[in-house]
Amino acid sequence: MNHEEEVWLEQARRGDRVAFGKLVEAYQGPVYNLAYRMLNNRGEAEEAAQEAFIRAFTRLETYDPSRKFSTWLLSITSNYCIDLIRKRRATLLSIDEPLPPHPALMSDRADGPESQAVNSERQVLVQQLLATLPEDYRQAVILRYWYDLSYEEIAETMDTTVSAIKSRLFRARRQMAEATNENGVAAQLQPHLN
Amino acid sequence: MEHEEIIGLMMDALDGELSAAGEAELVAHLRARPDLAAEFGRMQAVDRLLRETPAVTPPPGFVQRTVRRLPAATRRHLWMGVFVYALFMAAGLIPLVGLGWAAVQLVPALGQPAMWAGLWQAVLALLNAAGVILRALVSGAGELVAEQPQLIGWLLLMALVVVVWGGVVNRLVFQQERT
Repeated sequence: MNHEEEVWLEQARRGDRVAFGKLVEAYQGPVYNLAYRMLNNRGEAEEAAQEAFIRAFTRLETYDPSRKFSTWLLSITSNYCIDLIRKRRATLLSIDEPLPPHPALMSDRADGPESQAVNSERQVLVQQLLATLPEDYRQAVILRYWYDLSYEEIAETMDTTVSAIKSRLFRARRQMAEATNENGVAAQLQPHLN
Repeated sequence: MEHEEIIGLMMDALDGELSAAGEAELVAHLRARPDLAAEFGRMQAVDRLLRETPAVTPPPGFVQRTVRRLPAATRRHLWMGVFVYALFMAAGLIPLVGLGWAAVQLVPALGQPAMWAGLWQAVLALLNAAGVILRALVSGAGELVAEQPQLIGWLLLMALVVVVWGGVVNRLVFQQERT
């Protein structure tokens, strides 16, 4: 966190919404990406990312400056997403069900300026693989690959131990490798890797 | 090589942290286990796919929509906090005020000898009442035993049943658990 962000944070702590807006601008990418990777749905991702920022704003007094602000924010986001996934599962929209195989059948793919990138085959493939994982494995994978967090930082974000994270990551990698084998994803994967 | 060691080497390889010696070890092991080599190949492919997939960006206007939803409640929360604190303070003060009032009312009366004499009489009356109740209970129980002597026999029988049953339970349950 740079000095400017520290100033915004201090102002936001005193209730300054404009200052917090600047923090939203600075961290919108990581927070939205995490929500999207976890939820696999653009509408829900926006809602979850907004909710995560609102929670962060209302709980700023609990933020410990010795921790990285981004880690704290990602922790709020991923916990909120896991709650959503559990609620979603409770309403019979299980994430464990295999996703429709073709991108055209994927739900909630709205047309928009950014949808081209989101709609790319690679993104769909990644989301298919992530969807095969339990939410805690998925969370660890996302934090590792898109945020380049160390095992220690992931453990801190997920409030668990480093050995648990190592174990989850290995199982997740193995599970995704297995999914490529079972679902014929390997053939789709090949063009993206050459 | 232990299975755990192989897993460790595979993880290090995927994280780009494998030493030259570790790499040689892993390669040797994978040559001997084609099934594991195929699985590791798939894991590497997934790993590359994830690493090469860029983050998605939020839709335009995300910041404005989020800021609009932020509660302007920080100041209100502060006032609420002050109000709740004052309420708790008041709740703590109420019994103190009550005690103070009672003390003010009682202090003049405590100075009068008639007050102490009255209190002493009240204590004596209470002790007397307790004595009467106790005597009645004892004499009632004595009369009951005198009229119904078989009651003693029944009580002894019940005590015997309890002792025997306790022994049975101890033998069946607790000793079985110990073995």
